[in-house]
Amino acid sequence: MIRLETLAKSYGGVHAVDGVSLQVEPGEFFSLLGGSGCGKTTLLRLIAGLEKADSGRIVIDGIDMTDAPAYERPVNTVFQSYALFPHMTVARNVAFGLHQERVERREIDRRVDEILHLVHLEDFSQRKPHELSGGQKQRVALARALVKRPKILLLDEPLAALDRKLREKTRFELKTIQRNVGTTFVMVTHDQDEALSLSSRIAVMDAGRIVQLGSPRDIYYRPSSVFVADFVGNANWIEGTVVAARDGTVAVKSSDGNGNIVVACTDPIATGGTVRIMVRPERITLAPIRPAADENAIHGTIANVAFLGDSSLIEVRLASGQSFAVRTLDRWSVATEVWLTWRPNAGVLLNR
Amino acid sequence: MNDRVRRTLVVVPPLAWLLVFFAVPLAIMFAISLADPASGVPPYTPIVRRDVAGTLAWMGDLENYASVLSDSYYARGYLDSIQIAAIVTLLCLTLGFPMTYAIARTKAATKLVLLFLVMLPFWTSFLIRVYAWIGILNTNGYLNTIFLAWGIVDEPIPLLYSEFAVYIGLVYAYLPFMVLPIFAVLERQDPALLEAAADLGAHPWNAFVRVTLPLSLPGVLAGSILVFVPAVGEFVIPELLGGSDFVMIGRLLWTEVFANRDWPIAAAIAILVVAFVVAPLALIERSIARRQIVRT
Repeated sequence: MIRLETLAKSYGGVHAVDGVSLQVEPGEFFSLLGGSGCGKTTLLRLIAGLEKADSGRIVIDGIDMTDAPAYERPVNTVFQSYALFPHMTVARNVAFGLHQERVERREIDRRVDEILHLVHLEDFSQRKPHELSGGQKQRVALARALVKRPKILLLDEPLAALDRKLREKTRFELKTIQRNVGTTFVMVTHDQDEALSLSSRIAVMDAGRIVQLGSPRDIYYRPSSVFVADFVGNANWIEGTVVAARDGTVAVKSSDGNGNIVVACTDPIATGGTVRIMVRPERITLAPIRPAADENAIHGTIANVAFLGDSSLIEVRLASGQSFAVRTLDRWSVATEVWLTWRPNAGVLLNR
Repeated sequence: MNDRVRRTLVVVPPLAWLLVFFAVPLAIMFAISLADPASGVPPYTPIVRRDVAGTLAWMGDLENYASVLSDSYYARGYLDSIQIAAIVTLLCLTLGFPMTYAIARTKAATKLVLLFLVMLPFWTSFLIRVYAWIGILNTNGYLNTIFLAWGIVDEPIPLLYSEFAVYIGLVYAYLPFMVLPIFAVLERQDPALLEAAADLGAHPWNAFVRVTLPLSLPGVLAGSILVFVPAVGEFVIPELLGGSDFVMIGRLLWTEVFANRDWPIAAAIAILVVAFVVAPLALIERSIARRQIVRT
């Protein structure tokens, strides 16, 4: 288990990590998600001991590790560039950390074999890194860190250097490996798909702070702020003022002339306030005629259709001039007049 | 322009350069080494002679090699030169590696200044720099003046015209040739490798020994060869700073060419230097370079 207490780090007056507190439980697959410069990598390096915190505490398994050097922490890292030792074979790369622990030679051989088997590289043990493909290098980096049986495995954009097809395959592999070894994984990524598909929990970061922490579904369907909603997935926005609030629903009068929109909201909210409603593209249904009254409906014209293979992304131009993105399995053609409809509980009310 | 033509254009100039300025002179030297000394211009006999009947007769022989190899005077010259060059290489390495490591670890702006300082001596003539050392090491030179003034010694100590002076001169002159190739490899090393080593539990010293050091071997080797090879044949420094009993190969060559006017034996001495010293080193370097292909 790892606990961060108001951890802070700045570079020349810029707060890279600005008072982050969080706790990662044993066996979790935890992701730090954010754009470049949000401080996620700095936070990872602070945990690894590759950077020194300005203030705050890092506690790993009950032991204060804030000032411990990297080589004393029970934490290992899969670097974004993999950082494999170019002059060593795969086997010696993987054995490197065990040699440092002065593990007995026969035990080293056994554990190296075991871990190379786990990442399907048993036939590559005598290769040098420059003789490996990107995906194989990534697995060596993973094996080299995992063989140490760390309390926490840190992964810095582990899939970023792989091409798309391999990235998706490796994603499942990574998840399988994590489940099999049971080690706590903390991963840094800028890729929302990666974070959503792999993590048990996600911390979304912005400007050195955690802006939302929750399960992938929480983050995606119940973003706590406009920033999170926008960063994670595609979002359609309606601005307006609250006109009524009762029975767990809020009615919002659209300021763009889209009529009244009803959205589920259990938090108390005052009428008259300015709010924004977010609807995900796949939660909207397209219909040729106006549907039942208990659903939200806006009229529009199809402006563009992008066929993606597994679905289509459709751009609908509203009367207000706004564009809405809708994801659907149905086939639509440009210039068709449609009604966009969604249930009140498909929208999210945000006031910041 | 197709690839083939372009590749040829890239390869031909250096090959031509090597042929004209390296292979051909070496061949001429080898030819001279097979001849006998003669008075006249050129001061050696031709190795191929046309006799009265018009047929070509081979006149060359390996006599010069035989006399060089059998004369202990030459053997001592070779061994002394190799020993001195080896010690100088070691001194340059022990001095140069930590220095280069420190330079490579400073921040970019300081790094440039320090590298500039390493190369600064090249802006002055080599000969003048060696003469400067005479001024420093002389009996009434700067060093003795300082020693006397500070009371470290009671009377001037003889520094110049000694083995010590030759080592000082050689290490001084060749240190940059050690520093620059090592700097090149250290500079190219991915700093993430040391982070990875630390992350895997390696104490900084272990990380240095197991990662930095082996990865800088190509530079160490290149630097060592750049120091060792010219140091073996060095003439100016032992001539100006060393005592008269100091016989290095360069001095032997000079004596044979200018004092004895025996070009053929001088050529044989030079060819043997190439055979004994340079050729094996080149082979070693090639085999190591082949094994140490370091790509990221």
